[in-house]
Amino acid sequence: MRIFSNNKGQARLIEAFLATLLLIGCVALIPTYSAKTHPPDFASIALEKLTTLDNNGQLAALIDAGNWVALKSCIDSVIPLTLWYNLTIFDQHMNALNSFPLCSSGTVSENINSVDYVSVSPGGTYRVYILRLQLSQVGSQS
Amino acid sequence: MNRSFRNDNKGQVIVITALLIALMILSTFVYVTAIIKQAPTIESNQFDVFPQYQQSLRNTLISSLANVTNNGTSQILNENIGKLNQIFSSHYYESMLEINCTLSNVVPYQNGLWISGPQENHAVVGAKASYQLSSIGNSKISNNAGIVNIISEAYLSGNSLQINETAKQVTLTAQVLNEGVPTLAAGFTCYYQNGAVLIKTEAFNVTDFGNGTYRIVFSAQSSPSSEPLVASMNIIDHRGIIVSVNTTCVNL
Repeated sequence: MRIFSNNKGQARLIEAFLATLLLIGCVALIPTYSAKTHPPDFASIALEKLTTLDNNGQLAALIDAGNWVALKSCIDSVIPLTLWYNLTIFDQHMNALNSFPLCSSGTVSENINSVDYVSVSPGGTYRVYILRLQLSQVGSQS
Repeated sequence: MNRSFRNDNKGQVIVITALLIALMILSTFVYVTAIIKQAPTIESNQFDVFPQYQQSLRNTLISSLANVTNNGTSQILNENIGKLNQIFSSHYYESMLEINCTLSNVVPYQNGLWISGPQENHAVVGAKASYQLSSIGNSKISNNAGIVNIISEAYLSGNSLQINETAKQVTLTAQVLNEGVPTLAAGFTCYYQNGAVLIKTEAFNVTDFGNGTYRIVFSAQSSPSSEPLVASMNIIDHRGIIVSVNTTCVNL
């Protein structure tokens, strides 16, 4: 009978337990929220842009012609200004081909994503190029 | 009911203990989350390779077809696909990539190629391959399959008008299509038959209607006869694929 008469401790215990649950619930939601606001995957962006540019073999045609200025203009037009990039073109034996530096200006974040894209020249002479595109956020030090 | 904090403090102790435990759990959780965030992770973009491969295979078929129609050997298609698969396998680091590419042998294709040869009024050249990709990562397996078909075709019709004793004016109409869609041509080579001899003509005028249709006019050395003039054209589409097509001109 003493348990029933002196039940304030139990009530507070339940209150404390509920408060703990509430706190844990709030904290558990924080990673979910931060995951939603995670910066986009640069590798996917890079591949998407290169695939679009290479749709009709235009990218490979510019490389065939060694037209690095036009190639840089193409890349400039599709990569957002908030991203820094550096493009290196290799032949199938991994010899670098571009004598012209293909990169944007600006301070670079510590995190650099790199992606390899295979481009095939649709011309009569079969040539395969490997485009290595490095991307990073401009100015961010995250 | 003369309560004092000192006498009735069991509830408070429990509450403080519970809060301390909650703080410990929270701090552990936050610490573990922070550690997980710091750990380097390799994110696999398995789906990114599929459109990339399809596009590269498409360009490989175009390149091979351009080569074959320009007096290349038919084995070039198989060799080029082999090279492509080797490069993809060796330059895809995020997961193990299994590529299975099969050249079509369903009629009219043979070893992935369809070369109809110079035919009357209509000629087709094509290349077809099917592929299956399996990207096997640490946590998931992705599969993708598809068919890539490249077709260049040309229609040719024409008429001829005897303009003097030795010459005919030949007017040809050509239409160029890629995958059934009108497309632009990059060049033409014209021939006509004079008796048993096939004569190449360099002097011809081309009118481009801008929709894949062209009118070609040239003079052919031909004596008046009842036999209609046979003209032949090699049409190079903008992809460099050559389609050879013949037509028997209608005498006007």
